[in-house]
Amino acid sequence: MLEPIAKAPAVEVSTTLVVRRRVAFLDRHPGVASWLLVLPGTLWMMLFVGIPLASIVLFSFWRSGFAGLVPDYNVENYAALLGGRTFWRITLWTYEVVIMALAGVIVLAYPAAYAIWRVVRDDRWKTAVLLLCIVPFWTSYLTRTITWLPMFGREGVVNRVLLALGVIGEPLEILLYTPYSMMWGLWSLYIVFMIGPLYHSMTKIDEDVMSAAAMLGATPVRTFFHIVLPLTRPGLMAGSLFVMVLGLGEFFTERVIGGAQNPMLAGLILRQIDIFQWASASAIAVTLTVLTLVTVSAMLRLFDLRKV
Amino acid sequence: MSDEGTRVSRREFVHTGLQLGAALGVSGLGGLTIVGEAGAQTKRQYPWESLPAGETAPPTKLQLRTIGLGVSVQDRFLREFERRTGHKATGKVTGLTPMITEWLAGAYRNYDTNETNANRNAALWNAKLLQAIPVDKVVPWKSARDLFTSPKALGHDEVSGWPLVEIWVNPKTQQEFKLVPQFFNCDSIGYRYDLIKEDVTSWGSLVDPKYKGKVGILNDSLLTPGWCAGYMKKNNLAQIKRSDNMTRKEVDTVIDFLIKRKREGQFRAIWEDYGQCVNMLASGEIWLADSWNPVVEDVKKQGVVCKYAFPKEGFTAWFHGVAVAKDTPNLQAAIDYVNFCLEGWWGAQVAPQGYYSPTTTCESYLKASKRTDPQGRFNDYEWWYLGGESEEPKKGWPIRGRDTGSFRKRWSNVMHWMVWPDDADYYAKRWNDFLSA
Repeated sequence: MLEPIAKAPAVEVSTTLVVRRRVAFLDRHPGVASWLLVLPGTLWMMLFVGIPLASIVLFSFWRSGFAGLVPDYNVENYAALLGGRTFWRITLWTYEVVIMALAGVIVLAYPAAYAIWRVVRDDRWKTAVLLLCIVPFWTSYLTRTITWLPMFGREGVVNRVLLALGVIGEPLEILLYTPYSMMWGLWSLYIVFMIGPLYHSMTKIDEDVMSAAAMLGATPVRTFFHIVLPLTRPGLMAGSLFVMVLGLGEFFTERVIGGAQNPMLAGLILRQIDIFQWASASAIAVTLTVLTLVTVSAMLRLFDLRKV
Repeated sequence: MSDEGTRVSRREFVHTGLQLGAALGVSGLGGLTIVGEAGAQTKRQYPWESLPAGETAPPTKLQLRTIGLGVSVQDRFLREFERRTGHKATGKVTGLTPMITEWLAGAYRNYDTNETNANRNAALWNAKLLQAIPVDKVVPWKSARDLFTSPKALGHDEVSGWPLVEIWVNPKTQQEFKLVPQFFNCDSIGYRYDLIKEDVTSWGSLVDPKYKGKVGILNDSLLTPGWCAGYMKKNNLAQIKRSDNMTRKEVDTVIDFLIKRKREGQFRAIWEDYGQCVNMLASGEIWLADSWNPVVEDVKKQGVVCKYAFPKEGFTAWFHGVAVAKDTPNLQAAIDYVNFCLEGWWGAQVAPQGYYSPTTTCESYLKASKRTDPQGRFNDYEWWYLGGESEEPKKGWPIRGRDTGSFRKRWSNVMHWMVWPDDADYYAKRWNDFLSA
């Protein structure tokens, strides 16, 4: 019985020594430590993002056969895509939609974030209001989109209320299956991605700066444009990145409440897959990825997010 | 199957004295199988045959794993199959394209059967991911409708060779199935009679300016240009040789026509899935749409006056079938499933969705049931196959009998079958032009 007890500290000491030596090694070579730390994440990304992405790039140079992809290398998919007017029309429309969505979200989110920051004084209420913004996001994206159907339909809530109030004589059809309804849907989907970063930026503004502006006689509007807006640029940029990236990948809102009459780029991918055009779908996916990367890079050139 | 059958028979021999099954030591096809739990045996020749309520076949070691649309892969069907055969049954519901894509990507190793639209099945057959099923393994096929066996049948298309070319490895000898027909129907136009206030009798109504802003059309690069081509051809609006398989020039003509209509605001929405079309029609968002029979039946169930049109240009026909995976370890279960779907019960179950069964075996089930006619005058066979009273001119609501009338009337008016066109890529390219116009 005594022997193992006597030996145990020795083992412990040797283990501790090994660990110490390793730690000392890592101290002497900080580069190795960094590499080791990023290794699991890198492997994960390689496996589940890198390889699928590389496959899609590869497939985009293959040919679609009725019974699957044929490794018959060509650039026809890109030539047909980039050489046709339809692709550029859809690309232009996609950017129009995303920019409109972004503009609308900024206009709606600034007052909301500002109100939570300045108007709601009680911290518990602040939390409650922020929570209210987030709660809809506990349900799925699909559910949140479909919910607009009973709201905007011919027999939906809005039309019924307006009819009951006598504002309209006939149900408004513009409320559903139009670009307007799609835009409303997108704003509601993305607004929280703007309110959050904006509010976060606002809370970092020094209270003294706001007080100084007030004491020096700046109107609230002047204070907003000269103090709040410049100081919340990091939040604005972070939110814009979210909206831009999500918007460029949007396909469902356009189909369900936009009436599917004006496809966006991501929707075009689905439509190609529907008829087994995997190679052409891959080419669109690669092009969309490149466009997204270019857009994000351009935005980051405007403002360096590392300053946040 | 054989081992299990023997084991079960031996056990039952002790309990019930049914020596015959054990002595023969055979089960499944070719012999007399005795299934059912001790004390409640019903003698059946095949395990997929009907079993009285309350009886359950003893479990086998086989299983059936199927994939298909929600209209055919339903829990109630799989449970009945399980009850009759003892094979454990599981099903995955998906869309037509994902089903094919998944299968091509290797899912044929995970499933035993694939329930798909015939126009897509060639993708799997050409990739050699299916196996042919000998006709003598499909016992109810002796009651097959001539549409699926004879090139002279009503509804057969001589030019495309449909439906025979997609069913048989060799349509002339008809010895092996590529795809065993499971259910079939014709597509047409669903419309809100209460809003339109007249009968729709042509595909042209979908592009008629009279219904501007009230029309929904299916987002399908093949089917929608297909009916439009049929409409234009039959009404001499364009020179189109085959509306089911157009040349590039013909596709251009049709798509340009549709783009013009779209720009004029003809289409309220482009529908994409079953439920969406039901909702749009039921809520009155759209008044008419190129639609499917069960969509209209579902809208009616909501108390809405909806009808299924009898287009003068003809219907667009299709069929779904069961294909069997190559190298399936559950071949016998797959064959039992094919037989089960054609035995009659299954065909009777899908009749209220508006679907027809490729075998006439469903008749006895439907004749014994009066679930459809609200006044109870017609049995379900008279309603769904003979059309009830709807052979008479329909006036207003309620519609008496099945819309568009009898089986014979519907199948004598086929515009074309939904074949996979030779230049599907071009259809898709031009369909994108339409969508983005």
